[in-house]
Amino acid sequence: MDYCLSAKEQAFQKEVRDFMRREVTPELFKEMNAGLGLGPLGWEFTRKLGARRWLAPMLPVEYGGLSASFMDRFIVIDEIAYYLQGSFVHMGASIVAPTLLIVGSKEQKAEYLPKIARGEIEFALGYTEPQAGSDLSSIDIRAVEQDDHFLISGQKMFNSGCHYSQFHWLCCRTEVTVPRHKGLSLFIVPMDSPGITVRPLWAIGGERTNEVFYDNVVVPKKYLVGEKNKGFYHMMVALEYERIFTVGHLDRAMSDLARYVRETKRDGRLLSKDPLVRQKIAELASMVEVGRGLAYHIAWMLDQKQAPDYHAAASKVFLTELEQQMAHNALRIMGLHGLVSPESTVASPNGWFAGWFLANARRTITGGTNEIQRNVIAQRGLGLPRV
Amino acid sequence: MDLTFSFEQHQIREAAKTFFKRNWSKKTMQEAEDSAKGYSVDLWKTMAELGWLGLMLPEEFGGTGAGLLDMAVVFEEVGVAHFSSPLFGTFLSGLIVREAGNMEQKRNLLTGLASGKLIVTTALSEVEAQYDLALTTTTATPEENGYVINGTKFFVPYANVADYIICPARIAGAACGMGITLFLLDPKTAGIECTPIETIAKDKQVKVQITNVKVPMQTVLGEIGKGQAYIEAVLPNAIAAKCVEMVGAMQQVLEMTTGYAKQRVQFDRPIGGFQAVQHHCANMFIAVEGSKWLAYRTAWMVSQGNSALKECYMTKAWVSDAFQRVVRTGLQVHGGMGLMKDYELQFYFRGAKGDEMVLGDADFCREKVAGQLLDS
Repeated sequence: MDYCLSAKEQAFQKEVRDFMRREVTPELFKEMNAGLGLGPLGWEFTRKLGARRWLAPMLPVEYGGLSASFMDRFIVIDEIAYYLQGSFVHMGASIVAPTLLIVGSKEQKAEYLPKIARGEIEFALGYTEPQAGSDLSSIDIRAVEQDDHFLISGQKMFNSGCHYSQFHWLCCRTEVTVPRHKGLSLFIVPMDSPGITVRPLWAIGGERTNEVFYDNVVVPKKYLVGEKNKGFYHMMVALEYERIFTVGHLDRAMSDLARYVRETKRDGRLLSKDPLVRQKIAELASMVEVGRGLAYHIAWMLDQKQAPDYHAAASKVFLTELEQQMAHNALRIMGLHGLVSPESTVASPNGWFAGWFLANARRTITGGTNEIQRNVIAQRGLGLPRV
Repeated sequence: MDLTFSFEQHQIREAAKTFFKRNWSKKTMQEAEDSAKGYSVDLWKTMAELGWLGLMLPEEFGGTGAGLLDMAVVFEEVGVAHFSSPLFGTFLSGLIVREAGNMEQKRNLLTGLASGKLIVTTALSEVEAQYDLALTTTTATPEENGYVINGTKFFVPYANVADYIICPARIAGAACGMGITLFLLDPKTAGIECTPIETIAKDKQVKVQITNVKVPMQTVLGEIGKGQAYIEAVLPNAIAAKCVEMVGAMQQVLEMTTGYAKQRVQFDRPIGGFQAVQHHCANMFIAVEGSKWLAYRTAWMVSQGNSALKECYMTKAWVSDAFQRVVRTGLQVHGGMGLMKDYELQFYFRGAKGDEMVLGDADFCREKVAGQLLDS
């Protein structure tokens, strides 16, 4: 039994940290935390990661990766989470690439994988619709097969990357006469295709997401991914890889909060001497260790070729609820200062907590609601019946 | 990273599971609670033969010289079975003697401990100084060739059947936090009164009242004034082992609960099909998984020679609370059946409350963690 990273992994972690310390400037931090996705600095950072082959390190070397392990990948995204104070994950590298590797055609792999790995292109997930959230089988946007192309019409909702991604990773209905989840297909659609309209939707913390309208968009057949009508199952393949959740942003929050209470007086006394604050800090720190364990355990299971589906659900539930608790408690500890928006002239250096409080409200909803995750734990993990 | 158990640890686990399958049940749980002794002498003999009593003690005294992880596996299965015996107290006491004792004390005590001939318990708590040894009020007044001990110890497990009680006492006149010395007391000595404490966990806790008991120099375990240091050196092993034991119990409660949910039918379906019940069980799973990681990682760190104090206290705090959530939720899913004395769950429910308080409750432990994080 050994709970440490190997010497090689520790050396890699140090290399990644050195890179982050150099490359994550306050300006990049600000841009990445504005809720607007990849801007010019974000793209530059993405390409620098790509140049190191760290964006999609698990891809084979010939496609731009390092044939790295899940643990190595976890190390990279965890350090990004620490330095960017958020779990920003590139959809192309984390969802599209692993799926194409398994179900993509030879041409698609050659066309997209190297560009994804180099950070030249990004994909926006195109799953959710007004009536299809947790219930993905209700996807209704139609892709009608016609000679050498599909004609796609319909609407997507809450598709977050569309305003800065080159491609839409689109799930459409291609068959209506079969059970609903058996009539879905996956497409790669260039965002500049005629007939696509993207309209912003604004979330509580100023984050941008989008409504996307497809009006008779012509999508050549080469853009179909995998088999027609097997899209639902191809989406499930991708989920196998999107299991690893990070704790780096929680470590960052903990260390900022600990420093804050050690340096700040309230009512004549250092916060770090207040017994209630001490209890809360210790409780949160313990929970971060639990979260770290759940995350590492999954990376380890994946490298042992074990399927972690319900362990991943458990870590998602735990880490997202912890994230929200941390933001809530940080604001309470900061008192009135906790309410001040980051942009305000009287914001403290810890002002980002206020923005985080609003921005992470989504985390128990996106990526599979925590209710669905608990169903997965109960049904797939504990064998309780699906009724 | 390697999260697998060794071959030896697998064997230890299999032997433990077999032992408990053959010898332990709801009936014996009840018998242990009802009896004055609180354990079976026959089973204690078998435990000695299995090597459990001397697992971490040096081979020269009849032990196995194994590490904490091996012992932790035993405790996990103890927890799964909700097995009652003086094992935990004996394990802690053995480590203290190993740490503190001079050669003669080690020879006399460790051989007896490993063979099962001797039962030794340690009196860590008093009525007021429940978790913090530095506040010990039991005194040892120096006298000709010895000391006179006065004080009351509270919650000394199995003191009623122990051959020796390791008793921390403060040398009279020493300041707070200084002068704490370990004394090896024979509970049959005149002036020592052991009164069983009836607890909700029914775990054979004892009040030990020591009135003007004169003891010779030889009863000092190790060196004068080093008592707190000896115990602190050994405590991480005890905390980690207790947490692993709690994890074992939590796993069993989860298994009982999902088993019940799959077979209990209401409204024409197993109640495990209802989302509220599924979410209860999912929450229990998360608590168990988190606890398992923390407890075994801490045990591993301690077994590597790391005192891991912050990790020990983080783990005891989190696992104590998690265990409460698990038994509370498990009881809820069981409905009326869970309340019945004649059903196993209530043993784990009451045991969880007892374990929560052993070696430090969650608040005490969190304050220790805060000290590590904020006071340097």
